[in-house]
Amino acid sequence: MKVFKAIKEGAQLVYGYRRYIFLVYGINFLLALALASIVAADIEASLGNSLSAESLRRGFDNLWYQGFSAGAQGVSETFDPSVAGIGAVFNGLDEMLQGKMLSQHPGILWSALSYWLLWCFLSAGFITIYGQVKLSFFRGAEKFFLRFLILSLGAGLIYILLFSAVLPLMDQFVEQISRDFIDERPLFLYTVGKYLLLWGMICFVSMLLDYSKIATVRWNIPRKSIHLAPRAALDFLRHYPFRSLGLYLMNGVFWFLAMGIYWLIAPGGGERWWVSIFFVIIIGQIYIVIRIALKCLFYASETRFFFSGYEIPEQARPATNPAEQTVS
Amino acid sequence: MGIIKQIYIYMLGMLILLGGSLDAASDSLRMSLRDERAISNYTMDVRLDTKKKMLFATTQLSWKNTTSLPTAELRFHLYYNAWRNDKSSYLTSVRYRNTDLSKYGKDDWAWCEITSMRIQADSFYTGLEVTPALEYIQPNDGNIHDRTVLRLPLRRPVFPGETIRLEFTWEEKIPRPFNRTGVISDYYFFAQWFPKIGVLEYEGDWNCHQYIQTEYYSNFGTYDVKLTVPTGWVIGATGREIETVDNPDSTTTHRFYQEAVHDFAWTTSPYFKVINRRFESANLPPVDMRLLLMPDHLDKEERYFQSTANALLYYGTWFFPYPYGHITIVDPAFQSKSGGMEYPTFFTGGTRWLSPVGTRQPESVTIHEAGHQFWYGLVANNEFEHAWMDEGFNVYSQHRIFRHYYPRPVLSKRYFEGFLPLVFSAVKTNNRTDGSDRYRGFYSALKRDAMARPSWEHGPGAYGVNAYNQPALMLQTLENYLGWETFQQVLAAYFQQWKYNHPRPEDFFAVVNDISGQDMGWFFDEAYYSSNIFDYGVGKVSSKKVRPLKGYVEDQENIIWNEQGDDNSETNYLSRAYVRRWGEAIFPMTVRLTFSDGEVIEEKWSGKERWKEFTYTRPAELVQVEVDPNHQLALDVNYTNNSWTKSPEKKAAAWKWASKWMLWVQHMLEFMAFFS
Ligand SMILES: [Zn+2]
Repeated sequence: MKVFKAIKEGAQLVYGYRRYIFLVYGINFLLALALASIVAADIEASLGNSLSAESLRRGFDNLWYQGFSAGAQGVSETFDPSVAGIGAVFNGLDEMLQGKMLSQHPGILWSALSYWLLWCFLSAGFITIYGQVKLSFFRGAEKFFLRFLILSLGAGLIYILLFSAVLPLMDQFVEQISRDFIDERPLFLYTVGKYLLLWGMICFVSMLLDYSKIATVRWNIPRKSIHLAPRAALDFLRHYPFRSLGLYLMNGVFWFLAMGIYWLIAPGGGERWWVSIFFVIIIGQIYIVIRIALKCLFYASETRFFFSGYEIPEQARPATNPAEQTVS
Repeated sequence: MGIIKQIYIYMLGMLILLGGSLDAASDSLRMSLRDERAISNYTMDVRLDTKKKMLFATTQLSWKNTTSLPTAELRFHLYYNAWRNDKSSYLTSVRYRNTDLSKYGKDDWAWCEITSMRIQADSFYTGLEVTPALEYIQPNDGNIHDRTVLRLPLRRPVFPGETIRLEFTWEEKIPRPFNRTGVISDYYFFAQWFPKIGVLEYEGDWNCHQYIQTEYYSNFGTYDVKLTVPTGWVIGATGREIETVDNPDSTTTHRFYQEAVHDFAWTTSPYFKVINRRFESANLPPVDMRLLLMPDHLDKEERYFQSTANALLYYGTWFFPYPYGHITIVDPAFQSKSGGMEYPTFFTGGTRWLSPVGTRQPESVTIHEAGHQFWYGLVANNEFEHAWMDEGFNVYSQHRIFRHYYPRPVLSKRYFEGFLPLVFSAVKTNNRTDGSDRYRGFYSALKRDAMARPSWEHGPGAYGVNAYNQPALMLQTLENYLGWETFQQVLAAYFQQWKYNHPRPEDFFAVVNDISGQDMGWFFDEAYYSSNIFDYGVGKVSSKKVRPLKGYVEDQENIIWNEQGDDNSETNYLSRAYVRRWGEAIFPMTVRLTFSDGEVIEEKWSGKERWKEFTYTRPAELVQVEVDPNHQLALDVNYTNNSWTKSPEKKAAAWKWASKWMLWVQHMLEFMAFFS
């Protein structure tokens, strides 16, 4: 299957099952809203009846913020004005890039881990419906959740290894090489190279995880033979190295394109009235929906690509009851 | 001079030395000794060995005793010895004890040794080799591992008005950069680099501190310095280059000369691009600006020049015209740790390869360091004890320029290991006290050192707050209280009185009192001599309709019962507002009360009591109360509690920002989902 066809079919499926995107979005929204309510209450309490409320509403009030941040507790400690505009994306992207996702404030970390776990469940549902294996979203999610969890935990270990062992080695290497640099530009190039290399590895693991999940659904690989799933995925990638990479990159381009557009239109903090505040919130929320949809497009296009004719190699074929085969 | 006379002077000197009263060092004497511009004069010949990364040098020092007491010793700073070992007082100081030394190998440490010293023969002294008499001393902390102060005992004291001439050779190992000096690749920056004589105070004591955590203090003098570096390398230094000689060994000797300065720093590297421009302004003397730019910052040329010109223009107009006629701006090399530092007629800025205007780099650091040419270079306070007198004055003045010339500051943040900056143009930070309150520590409940405590003794976190932020806010408060016109006169008079000299805090306070015609002692007692914090706020506010009288009233002859509510007279409101003093420190306050009919009442309050109540019965409701509405007291640590309004927009404000934070969380969740 051609990359574009996979994307096209994937997009159709994503659109067809759009209600599940809104379901995911709803969970994301509620999780974040619960935390944001705490922060809003803390901000409100710290403002009291002060006129600072007025300057904060009109723009930002740094004098207020100095006092607020000095006394903030709980998740409110993490509030800082750089969440305005594209900062809301860059702050997270920067931490993800450097593998600092696990060093969050506990309140954020637990929500993020719960969301991660939830996605192990949801991705099973999505791949089930995108694979059109005659199971409903929730039946599929239920059926494959534990298998996906095992796969995700396995991949998680590799991610942790990459961030906590490989990245520091690369850091050290770059540091040694650049020890006597008195020009910033070559160090910038080395740093770009460092992260390209690291994220090349991470994306490879991510592809492997995606196709392992897809293989698990396609051949209903049982839990006890789950190790065959990455083997099948690896075999698949070996068969279609360029097309699978092309598909991944194409999806990645969409992701960056969406971020670029949001960057252009993201309001920075100049809004003053309830109507405009609400409008800014809506723009941000639409972007979240688009992000979730694009994540689904990754799954959908990869699933369509995997399901389109690739046959399981003999050695990777799991010993399953043929009656249980759910290949469409 | 006859031997009898010499003995007589010697004995007289010893008498003064032993029994001399400190009263001799009265302020009038300090002020009368105006010959301050040529006390410590250096003629140096320095050769840079780029292979060994060493300096080989000779110094001829003439030092004049301008105090009223003789001295039987001389003391010298050997700053480079601060990085001779890891037990030095510098590397164990509160400020620098956490320096990451893991990156410093054997070749990256430093030392400085005087290999021979001679007193030159003249009418007072016979030529004398004194090297064996030299000894390291540790006057501040007794730390035997610290070799940053060297003492030369003298057989014959230097009497008031006399000059002693020394000649010494010395060698120095250049470190990987520590505290703005050292070498990285082919970039050398030399600061606090040569054996330097301390300051003999008017009281007769040597002020020659070990190198601990502060900056510097020296007398003014003339510097005539020959610097030999590889031919073709660009060189920048204090002073003007007056002679250049190419040597047969592929080196070039550059001779720099400068009078009336109290330090000398220099830099050399083959990579600098040199750009010259002239500062000209109608009422100020012209200044030749020389910019040494690193290749990754060539696009910052205009911004460096503009910032330097702004400092020369505004400081020159407000305080005193820059007198030297030339200034060298060094764009420091990446990783060289030499950025953001001032030396006479020569300073380092600092920027990054990517640094849009909103980041204010290099503007902020350039104006600051150029500004130090005035507060430090000319009005040369003792930075060991009173770091705030140059840093605080400079931060205050620098922010004045920013408010005059530049748009409001905005938030900026760096991503991707600091390479990629992002400017949040919609998030404006403070205008009134921009930057001065950047330390959250200023809000710390833990009371820090009083500003009056000597800087070299400051405890954890106190140096930054006490040297920079708090004094800047103190001066801003003074400006607000006295008015700019008066305060500008104060600063100009202070400058005029103390240029080429070493003022102490009391000298500044005296000028404030003198020029303003007010005794501001009460303010300095709070802001300078104590560690008290200022915090005024609005307490409980209420404004209720006054109900008609309920109870027994007299009706002609009878006493009758009056039930509430049958009075048709005009509705009045009884309004009460409490303002409170939460901090220990006291400052007079203005209280502004606004009523629903638009009427505004301003009240004065001494600010002395812990609280004060304002009560009004008026036909309109009290809707807003502000204590210090114009933010005169810039030192108030919590300005949020300074106002009360009946209907604050706090829900909209809170959700506006909480929803942005929420979006960040939502994205965090999605980033986490990538790994699932
Ligand atoms: Zn400074």
